[in-house]
Amino acid sequence: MPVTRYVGRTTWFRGKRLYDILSRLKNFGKGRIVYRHVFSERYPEPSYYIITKVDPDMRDPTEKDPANHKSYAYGQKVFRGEASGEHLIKSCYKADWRLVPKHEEEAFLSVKAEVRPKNVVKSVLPFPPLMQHLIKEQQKEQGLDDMPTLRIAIAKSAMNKAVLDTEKQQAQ
Amino acid sequence: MFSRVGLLAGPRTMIMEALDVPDKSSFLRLVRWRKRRWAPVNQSKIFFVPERKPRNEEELKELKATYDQYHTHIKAIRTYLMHDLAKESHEKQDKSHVVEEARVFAELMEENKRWNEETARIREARQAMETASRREELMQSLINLEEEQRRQTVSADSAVRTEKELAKTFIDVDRLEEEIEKALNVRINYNFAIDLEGNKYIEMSDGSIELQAKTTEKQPEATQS
Repeated sequence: MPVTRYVGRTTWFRGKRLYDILSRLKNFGKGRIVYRHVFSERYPEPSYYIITKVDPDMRDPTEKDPANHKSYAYGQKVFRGEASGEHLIKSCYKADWRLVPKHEEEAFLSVKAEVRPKNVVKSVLPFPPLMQHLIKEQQKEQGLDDMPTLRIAIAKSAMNKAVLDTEKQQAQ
Repeated sequence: MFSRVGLLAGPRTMIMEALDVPDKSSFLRLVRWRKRRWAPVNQSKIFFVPERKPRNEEELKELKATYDQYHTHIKAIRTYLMHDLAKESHEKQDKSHVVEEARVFAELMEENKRWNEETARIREARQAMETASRREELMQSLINLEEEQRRQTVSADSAVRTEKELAKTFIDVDRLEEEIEKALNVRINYNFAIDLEGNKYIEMSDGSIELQAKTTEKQPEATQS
């Protein structure tokens, strides 16, 4: 009886690599739903892909240099309940993918996520106490009255969707 | 591994201190970095998988929010200081050299203008000379052309006159039979007699004998008439 012994560290990944799933499906799983296990655990909203296109690399994997073999999969992306169109699926190599069985697809898609409230942040922050003191002193020396403001800048990205309170007022 | 003598050469780092043989007199000793970076995993640790530490989700959430706020704040302060510094350095700039630079620039521009004017003068003179020369060339070529045309006219005229002269001897269709008859009636003897002096006796078409004295020049071919 062989004994399985692990090395390294534990992982949160529970699943298969994407191509381990897709290569066993009809038409490479076009139209099927796949999702990452860690996202399903981490967020209450559903995150998944509906596969739209697959460019498989069907070369013999026993040939030399199989590391250069690359397949590409595209899908309609839904992250935390927000659909964002067709994307190239990254992190296919992570052994964390799961397939939704066909008879469960309807139930899986019927889960409606609550709309997440926008993270509104203040556009003007207070100066640190010592800095405020020094600025005040400087202003007094120069004979100026108005205190400068400390404005913040938000690096907007797909992951950072925070909005400034001034922007929110403008939008309303 | 490291000898104490070798380590004396450079500044002693924390790693070097950790690698030292423990001093019995000290109570504190670092336990990190006992393994060299290039040394393999200890045999007893190969199959050691550390367990995940339990984490307090609430605390993590709070910490993440706090860190986000902190980093945003720090970024805002850094941006403010950068702008402030830029403004200050702009204000503190010594403006005296600006006037001097402007004066030097104006001088240079004046000199450049003078150079340009001089160059323009030279260029215009050269261009005028070139225009005159070109005009001269064109006039000469016109004269040459006229001369050539006149010469060609004269040449063509003389050629026409020669042809007209020759045309008088041409055989007409009306006189063709007559001429053929004439040609058939002419008797030509290509043989000739020669005496000891080298004189030739050629029989002409009318039966007479013509004496052709010897010449040093090349004899012409037997004449046909």
